Amino acid sequence: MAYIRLEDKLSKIDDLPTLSVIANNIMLITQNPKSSALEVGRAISQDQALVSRILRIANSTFYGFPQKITTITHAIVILGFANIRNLVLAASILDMFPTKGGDGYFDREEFWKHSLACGVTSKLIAKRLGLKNLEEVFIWGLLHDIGKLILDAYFDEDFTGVIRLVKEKEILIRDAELQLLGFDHAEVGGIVADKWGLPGALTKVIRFHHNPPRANESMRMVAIVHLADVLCRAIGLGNAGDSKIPCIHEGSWKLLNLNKQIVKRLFSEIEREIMNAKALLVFAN
Amino acid sequence: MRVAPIEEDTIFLRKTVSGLREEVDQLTMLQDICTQIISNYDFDQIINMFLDIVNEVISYNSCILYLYHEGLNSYRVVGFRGVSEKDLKGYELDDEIINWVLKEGRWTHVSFLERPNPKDNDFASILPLQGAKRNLGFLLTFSDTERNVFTQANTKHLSFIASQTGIALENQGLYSKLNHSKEYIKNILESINNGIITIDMADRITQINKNATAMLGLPSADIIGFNYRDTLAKDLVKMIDKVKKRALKDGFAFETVFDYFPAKDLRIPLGINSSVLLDDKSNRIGIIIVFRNMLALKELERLRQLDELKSEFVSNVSHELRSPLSVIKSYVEAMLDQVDPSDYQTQRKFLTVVNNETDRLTALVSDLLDISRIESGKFEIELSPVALSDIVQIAVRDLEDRTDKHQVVVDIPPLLPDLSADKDKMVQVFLNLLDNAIKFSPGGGKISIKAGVKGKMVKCDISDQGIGIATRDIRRIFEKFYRVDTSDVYEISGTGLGLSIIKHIVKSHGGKISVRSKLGKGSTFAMLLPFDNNQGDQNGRDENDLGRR
Repeated sequence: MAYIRLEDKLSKIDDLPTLSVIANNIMLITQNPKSSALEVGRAISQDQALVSRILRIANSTFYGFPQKITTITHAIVILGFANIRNLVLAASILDMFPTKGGDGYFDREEFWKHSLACGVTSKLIAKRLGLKNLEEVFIWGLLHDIGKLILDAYFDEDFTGVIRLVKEKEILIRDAELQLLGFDHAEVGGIVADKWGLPGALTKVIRFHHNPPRANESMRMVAIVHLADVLCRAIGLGNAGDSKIPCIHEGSWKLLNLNKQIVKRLFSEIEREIMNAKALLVFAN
Repeated sequence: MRVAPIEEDTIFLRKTVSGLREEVDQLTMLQDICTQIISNYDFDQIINMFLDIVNEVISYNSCILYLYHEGLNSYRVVGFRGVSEKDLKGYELDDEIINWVLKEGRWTHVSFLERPNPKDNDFASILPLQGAKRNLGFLLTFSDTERNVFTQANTKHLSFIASQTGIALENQGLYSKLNHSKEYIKNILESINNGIITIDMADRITQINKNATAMLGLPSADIIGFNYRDTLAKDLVKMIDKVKKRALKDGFAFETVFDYFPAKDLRIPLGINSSVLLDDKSNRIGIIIVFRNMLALKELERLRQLDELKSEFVSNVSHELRSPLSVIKSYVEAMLDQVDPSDYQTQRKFLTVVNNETDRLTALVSDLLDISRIESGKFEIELSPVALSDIVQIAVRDLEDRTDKHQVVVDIPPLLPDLSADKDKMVQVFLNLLDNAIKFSPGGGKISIKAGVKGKMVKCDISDQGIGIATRDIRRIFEKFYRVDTSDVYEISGTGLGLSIIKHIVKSHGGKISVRSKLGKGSTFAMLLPFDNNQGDQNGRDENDLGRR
């Protein structure tokens, strides 16, 4: 029932954001496995500002390539399709929701810091699990809370109430959302991700990161981000709107076969990786 | 210029769907091919299959495969195509870039590369090969730029192929390591002097070394995998059953020795012991049975004793030789310096001593000669019919000259059949035995010689009432060089050769000699000597008959 109410509400917003044309094109092109670096490069080259931003980030310490990358095609063949697609996507979304913005109740800078930490942590967990496409996992973590940005930008009054309730009662933002709005940021994010045509895995992560079992066969991917989210809150990396640390979903913990020692080691790795990843936030502005 | 949204372009969508379908088909096929790579344990075959399949995906013009070598601590070329061997050194790889690519673990284009005959239009790329936990190496490929090989699908395919090949190479490494350690253990097993057989819990032979095959006289070592009960000799199976039972009960079985007959008339004393074999989780996985050839050990022991006896003999003989010589020398010196030349009586007395001592020496030397003849197999006897009474008479006459303290009693039935004997040698036997009887009864007493017929032999006992022989010595007194140690009680000289020679003489006549004795009561040497065949039948009566006549 809550879902219908939410759909109704979202449909009433005329100016619900769309992805930039370039980002949209890249999403589509990269859906075809036959697409080549040349095609992706050609599409990005339509926006020279984006090209220079991508080259800047490609040459940043986050990727740490030992030589200078000078062309967008070069960036693609070195960083790979997934990285480039994610950069375009991230750039597009950061443009929509700049770090400096909102009404002060919801601190977007802290929000992006948390998202970045979550991306880095997800990547490290995935690496430990032996997964190979770590770039994908990074973007899952980075964009998992996208729904909060939608709420902040388009349900301003409602969301301010949510943040106020969170601060007063010291509860989880999700509980406050459900209490006041009848739906949560995960559902909002899921609907928008569908609309934007984001990759299926990313959409599932956005929609189910508070409840991994609902992702069914994709539970493992969602569990990674769920766990990263909780860990980042636990060590206070950024702030996603509330200060309470949610419980770890036990099934996810078991599924990923983690233990306290692994988590301890992860903590020290996170600190190091996050230093490099900060370049991405600079890039956002 | 801004492009119109492609999402409306149905052709684009159709292309995407068909691309995705093709992708699924290709991945399915790749999976099948990679299964072949993974199930291969031959290094060269894995490398060749890998290079083939990468070529299928991106049709490179040339490629070089580098694998990390732990010993060299660097990457080295293990395969190449489309490159001449002499050009290989011309490829200068930037370590920083290589390390970056390996860290990212992704198929990556590289443009900064020094190489021979560089082309403008080729696309150089590095495909990392990763194992479960470490980088194994990378494949450097060159293909035409126009071919547009850098696609998402190719990236995915190559990453899949590389990961499967990485696993295959690691498996191959483990496999060859396993083989290596198997060979190593086998070498150890083969170089052990003992025979070793291992069996599993189902009694199947799992390992057998060459020594075991040789020791157990097995026709072939090709019995691995068979139940030991079906393949080994019955008496061996019985012994293995025994030590196996013990090992299963206690974890091990101490060595027991048993006689094994690998062939008729071939007896090998074998030591056998066993232990339970455990795996890393302490589960019983089998039994190891170790065989030791005790023959070698016994031979060694025998040689050691022989060596001891010989040293003892040399010291005995030296002593025996020296004492008569020094007596002779001192008497001769005295005669030369101190005895008045006209004092014939003293001279005669001294010369008698010298004469006796010379006899002693002669006897000793002749004993030594006999022993050396016996040992070299040159000791021969000439048989002829001889009456025992004649032999005894000669011996006793000699004896009577030498003792006053002993009373000799001879009891030989008059109709005793002749012996078939070498008279001189037989006299030597009796002389020796009687001499011993006198020597070992220093207090005097009766020495009796009693003869009779027993079956087809003449039985002759020589008894004294002397000091007797201890039980522990009885078994050994016929051994060469063996002397009963009486030094603390009596000074009795001898070489330890007499009885050995006697036994040999009696035996070469087809007879037997044995001894009964009691310490302090005296000894009886009993001989059985064969009749002369020609008269054996007519005189073949037993002792009782003779006794009655």
